[in-house]
Amino acid sequence: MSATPTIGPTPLLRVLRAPAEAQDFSQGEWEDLVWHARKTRLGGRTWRMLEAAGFADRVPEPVRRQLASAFIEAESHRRRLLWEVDRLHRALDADGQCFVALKGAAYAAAQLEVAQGRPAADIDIMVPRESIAKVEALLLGEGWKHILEEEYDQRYYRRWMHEIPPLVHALRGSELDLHHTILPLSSRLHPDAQSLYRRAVTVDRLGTKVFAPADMVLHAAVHLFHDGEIRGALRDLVDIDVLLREFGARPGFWPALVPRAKELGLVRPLFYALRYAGHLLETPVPSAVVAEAEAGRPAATILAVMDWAVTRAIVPALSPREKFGARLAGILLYLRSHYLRMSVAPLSRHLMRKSIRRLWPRPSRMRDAEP
Amino acid sequence: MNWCVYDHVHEFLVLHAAVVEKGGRALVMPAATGSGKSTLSAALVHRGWRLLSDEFALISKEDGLVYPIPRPIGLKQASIPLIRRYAPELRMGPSFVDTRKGTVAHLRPPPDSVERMAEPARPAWLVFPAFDTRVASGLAPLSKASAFIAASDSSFNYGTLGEAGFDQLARFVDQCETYDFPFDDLNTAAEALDRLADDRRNAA
Repeated sequence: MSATPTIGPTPLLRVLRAPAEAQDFSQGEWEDLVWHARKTRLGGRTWRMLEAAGFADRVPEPVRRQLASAFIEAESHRRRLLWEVDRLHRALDADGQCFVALKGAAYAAAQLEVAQGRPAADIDIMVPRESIAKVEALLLGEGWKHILEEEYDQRYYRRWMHEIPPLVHALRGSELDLHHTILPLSSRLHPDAQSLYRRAVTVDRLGTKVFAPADMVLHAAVHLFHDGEIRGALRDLVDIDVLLREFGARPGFWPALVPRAKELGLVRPLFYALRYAGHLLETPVPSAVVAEAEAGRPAATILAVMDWAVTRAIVPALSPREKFGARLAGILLYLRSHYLRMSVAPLSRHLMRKSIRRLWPRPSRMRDAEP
Repeated sequence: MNWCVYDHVHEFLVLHAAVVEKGGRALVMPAATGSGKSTLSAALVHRGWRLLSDEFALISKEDGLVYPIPRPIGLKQASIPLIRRYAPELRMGPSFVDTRKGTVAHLRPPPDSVERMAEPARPAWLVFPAFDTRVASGLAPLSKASAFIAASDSSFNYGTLGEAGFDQLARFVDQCETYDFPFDDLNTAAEALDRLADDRRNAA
């Protein structure tokens, strides 16, 4: 099995690698790009890259309309995230509770390039585990409420996950994930959350903290390759690519990246991130760093399966043949992600519980318990 | 279909409004469902106005003009026999009884509207119609500030557009004469709106 992806790069991938590619696109290629951009929600990012490269006026009008609209939409998400961060300071600062903004909220607060054209539905923050109860209570007092009412869901999250069950704001409708670390408690990896806090940096006048650059990249890698679903997640790989391109230009970033991954026990996800960002998006990574990250290389068989599955599943499939491959790859990766998140005993109990509930749904106990 | 329009065309400021045009000038009537904007636009089409849309005002960021998106005019309940009597020459499709919105029928947009669907119009009047039998009917001048607030409420993507949306809406409201328009009789209402266009022509 070859190490390079067997599927030729789609027009979307070609633009994400080098926007200049778009200069010679045929109408068919533009159509393909629009389809993929919508499917992967990368229209805003694509537009941002074309504009920054000075090719915006080469884009056919109907395509421009689609991509520019996606960018405008993403901009409104960015404003919303910043507003929610502002509201969180209002809810938590007076009580002396600090939080670290994660993912989209962090990218927006730190004014990183990756926040440009990036749609984001939820706001994610992390607080020390011992502060969770206090922060949750403060948020519930500021108009946030629980989405999941079933007692089982509540217990499941609190016992096994790295976050409490999601909250929604009663008036603004925003969703908030409150984390106390970056991976499920049940997961096979246990990065030291304390260390992530210690290195967090303040990025705005409100005092908002975000992970240090290396930690931010590692979190994105962990999220994609160790926690979330890889299927259709090209967006998440693009986050990693754009972060690496921006941070990579800062002195001291590259030499510190792999050592930091080792310190946190996250070399495997970093290896995958560098490998697939390189393969699919041609992210420039110094060869010394690639060599260092070899420490995270899995056994040959596992890597061969991952190469086959990731390159198929992460990009949306068009033809029936691609769809079949993507589906199979998606199932493989889905099983893998569950295996990584939990050891077998609690996982089978959890899946059993969920299947039973699906077969015999019953009214929410928490709601019944209310007066 | 509606969702596709207002969720993917952010180079327009999109208002939930009926738009008709006469002499190159557009009459924009933002209103909630049930306030009579479709019925009014059907009546105005009968009186020679060109239909741009009974649902969306697409205000361009580039040139500030209103762009047409002519689709069948959706009529509900009592409006159906009313328009059938008022404008018998307009082709109406079958009535669908007992839908989620009650009885619904659709008017075919006149051929002229469809042929000229690429031709935008300059916004001239911003009128907020409300079918109401309890208050005195007629055009009541509305301050620009109030019109701005009301128009922003009727927009699908004002919030999404952010600062650009504010500028666009301000420019749009500035270009228009602005009125509140409670009405209780279709013919009287249509005549009043017709006079707007005539006044403008006489003044010119």
